[in-house]
Amino acid sequence: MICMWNIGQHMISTVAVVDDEAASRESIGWMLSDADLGMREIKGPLTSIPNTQSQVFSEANALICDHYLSHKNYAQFTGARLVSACIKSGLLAILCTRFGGSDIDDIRSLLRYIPIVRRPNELNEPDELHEALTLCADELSGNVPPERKVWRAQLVVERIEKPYFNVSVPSWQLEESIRLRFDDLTPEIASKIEIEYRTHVWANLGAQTSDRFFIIWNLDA
Amino acid sequence: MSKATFRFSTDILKRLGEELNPSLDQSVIELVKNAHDADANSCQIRLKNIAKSGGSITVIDDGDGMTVEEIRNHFLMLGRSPKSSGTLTRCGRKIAGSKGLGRLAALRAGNQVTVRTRSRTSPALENELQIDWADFDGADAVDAVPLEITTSSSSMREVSGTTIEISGLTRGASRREVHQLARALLLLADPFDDNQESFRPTLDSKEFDDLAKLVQNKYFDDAEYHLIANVDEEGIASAQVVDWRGEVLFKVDHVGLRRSGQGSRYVCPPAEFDLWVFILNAETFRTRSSNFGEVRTWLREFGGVMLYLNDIRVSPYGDAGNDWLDMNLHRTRNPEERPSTNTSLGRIRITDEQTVLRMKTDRSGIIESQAFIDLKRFAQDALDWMAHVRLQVAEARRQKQREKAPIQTSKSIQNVKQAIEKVSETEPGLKQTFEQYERARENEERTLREEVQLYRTLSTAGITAATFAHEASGGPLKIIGRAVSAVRRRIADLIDPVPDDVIEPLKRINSSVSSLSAFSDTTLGLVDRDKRRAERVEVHFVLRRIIETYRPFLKARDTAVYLNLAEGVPYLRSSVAAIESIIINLLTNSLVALMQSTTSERRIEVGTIIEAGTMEILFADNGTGITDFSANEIWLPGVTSRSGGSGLGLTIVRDTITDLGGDIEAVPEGRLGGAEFRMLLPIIGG
Repeated sequence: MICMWNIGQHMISTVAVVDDEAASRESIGWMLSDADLGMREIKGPLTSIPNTQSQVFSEANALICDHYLSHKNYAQFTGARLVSACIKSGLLAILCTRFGGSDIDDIRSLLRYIPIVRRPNELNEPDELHEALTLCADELSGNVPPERKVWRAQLVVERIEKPYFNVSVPSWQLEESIRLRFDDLTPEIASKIEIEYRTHVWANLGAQTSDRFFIIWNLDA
Repeated sequence: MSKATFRFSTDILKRLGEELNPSLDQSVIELVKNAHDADANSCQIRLKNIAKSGGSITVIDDGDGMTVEEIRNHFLMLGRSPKSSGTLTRCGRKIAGSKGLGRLAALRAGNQVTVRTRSRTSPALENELQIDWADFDGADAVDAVPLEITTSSSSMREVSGTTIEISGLTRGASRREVHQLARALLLLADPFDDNQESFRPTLDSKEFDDLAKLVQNKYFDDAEYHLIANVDEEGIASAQVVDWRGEVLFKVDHVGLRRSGQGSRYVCPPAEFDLWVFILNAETFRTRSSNFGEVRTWLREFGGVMLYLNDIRVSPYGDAGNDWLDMNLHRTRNPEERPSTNTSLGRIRITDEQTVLRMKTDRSGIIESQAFIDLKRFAQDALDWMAHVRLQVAEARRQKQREKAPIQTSKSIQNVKQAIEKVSETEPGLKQTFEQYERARENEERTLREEVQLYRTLSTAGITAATFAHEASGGPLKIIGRAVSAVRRRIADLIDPVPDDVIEPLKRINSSVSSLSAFSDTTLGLVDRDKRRAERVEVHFVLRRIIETYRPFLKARDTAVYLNLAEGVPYLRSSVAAIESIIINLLTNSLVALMQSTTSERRIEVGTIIEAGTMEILFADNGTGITDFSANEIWLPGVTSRSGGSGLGLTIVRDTITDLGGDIEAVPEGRLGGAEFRMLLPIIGG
């Protein structure tokens, strides 16, 4: 029996699942089934973000999406890009990732539009899903939690190793430098990047760990 | 009262000319610099019968020329120049010449001088000045010799310029002097003289034809490699590398070149990229006519990649200190087979008929639009590709050398043995001594071979572990976790309350999954490239992060870790990976020792003490201690008390500590009862 979750302004009855592993999609299905929610398994190959986004919007009220989608011939885009696109359109979406290795390099520039990131073992229970969707709905309605609220902060470029460069944001963390990608910058900002370059940006200074920390170069962009 | 002025003897004129610029090349180059400063594009230096006295030197330029006033007030005025250093010429060149004294030296090199010049303002009129130095020899003072400037209609209408002919040279010029002149000309010339705005000196000398060719061809013929890459109107690129003989060594098509963009097209105007790469060492230049020192000087002046937009050079690209393609940065990161701006010279010629590229309003370069970024990407892709193929060649060469080395060694040993055989009667102990040496050398070689093999094994184990960790955490571990949760929920729906003997195994699976996930994350974290970079490493920060990462695993092993860190932020120059390999190997050893121990409270303590530029790290556990081997033996590779253990952990710890300039000591039974390790590391600050 399918039930309906009322989360903020959102009515959730069916959740779309995007993952390049069929077994992994199925395993999320067990949790959705136990939560009495319907699952819409999105099967590949997925041609583009707009097409996938349309499919998710027409068939489900929320999305659970793995970050890596290209191990098989499933999708040529990352889960982070799909989730951020869905969030911008007002759909509740959760990104699942192990957050190891270079995952964060792909994700950081999109984190502003990804309210909820969960590691695989953090989304095994219906309660965990309910909590994640509630937090996501809160942020979409303007209640941004302290760890994601952005503040004006000074940034210093410490090292350049193209295609990456490392910055420090002293008002957030003195010990750890943050690796960013030139590809994620506009040409105008990229042209200014040099060692010791200082500028003001917006950043979520309340972030507890570096993999939840993001920088906004231009609030209007 | 009567007035008087200083007057100068003609001897002073002679001495000034000879002593200020003693060699012919230095004198002539002053005339060439005058042509450069007069904004000439072409400047021909003709040397006729130069090897003997009586020959002539003629310098012909198409610069701004001189009016009668300029001849009188500038050309004939010694010791004062209208040019001052730092100012620019009409065409924006940096002034090269100086006070005009060098000019005198050149003019004094011969017996007669003829100057014919047509000024830019009146090119139809030719002014001529003749100097016969013999007139000065018979005079008392310089001002006693009148010089006549005649003006006539020029046959070369509307072409300004100056011709200076010095005839009746008082001595012949050596090959060395002409070579020096050629080098100096190359340093004044734009390396790419197909640009109409550039200064293009040429040397014309039948006696030194090879040096004339050098000025014409510059040092490009001495380049070891020439990269030729282009991108067409459709954004499709290709590249090839030719050697100094012009033979194609490597070729690549668009897909091979555009690896970073998965074969997508470059969105930029069509462009041609040429880069000449030099190998600056004596060995390479042994058979060349130039020496590497002069090429190095030339590259210091012009090295880098210049950019020409529709045939006009665009600054600052390729100017001194402008490494806009980050060649030096890439070379620093990966020095092998990468050119730098000091070892290469190149240009990118862009044909931009649609004006896709736009100059910045302050003319400080091209706006960094997507088209310009793609153009840079094309050039950098070509550089990356060339580095890649050259690296492959270098690797093949190394492989060959590896194969040849034992044969050469064996041959050398035979030679020494034969030599010893010849003197064996007079030196009976020599043979025995050499045999002892040979055995010692073989031992050393065997140890080194084993060590190399050890690290290869270790690398393979690391790569395999990382691959499995990635696969495991991406699929199976995730699914096991969800499956266990689903089973637990579904049992709870069927049986209420769920019996403990069902709950406990499920809990155990969950905690095992957490442990495996922690190990996967740690394994993948260890191979992160960033961690192997030499940089400022804050040791306390790394220690805390390792313990945090291991937390689930430690919990599953009922093991508590206590950090007792000193005040301050001690740091050293190392890599995060080095510090991690020390601590993680010790941690892993402790966990094994605690598993074998019967202690009820498993405990590991990590502490630091900072004292006078040194940091002591104390690592102790309450496990079984070091029992099977002596404290000296534990560092040897392969020594392990655990069945199936690699015996490599402590070897790595010791090697890493040694690399960091530190020291390590093992206490078999430390203050917690188990093994204790005391490491001393030099720190930069804390």
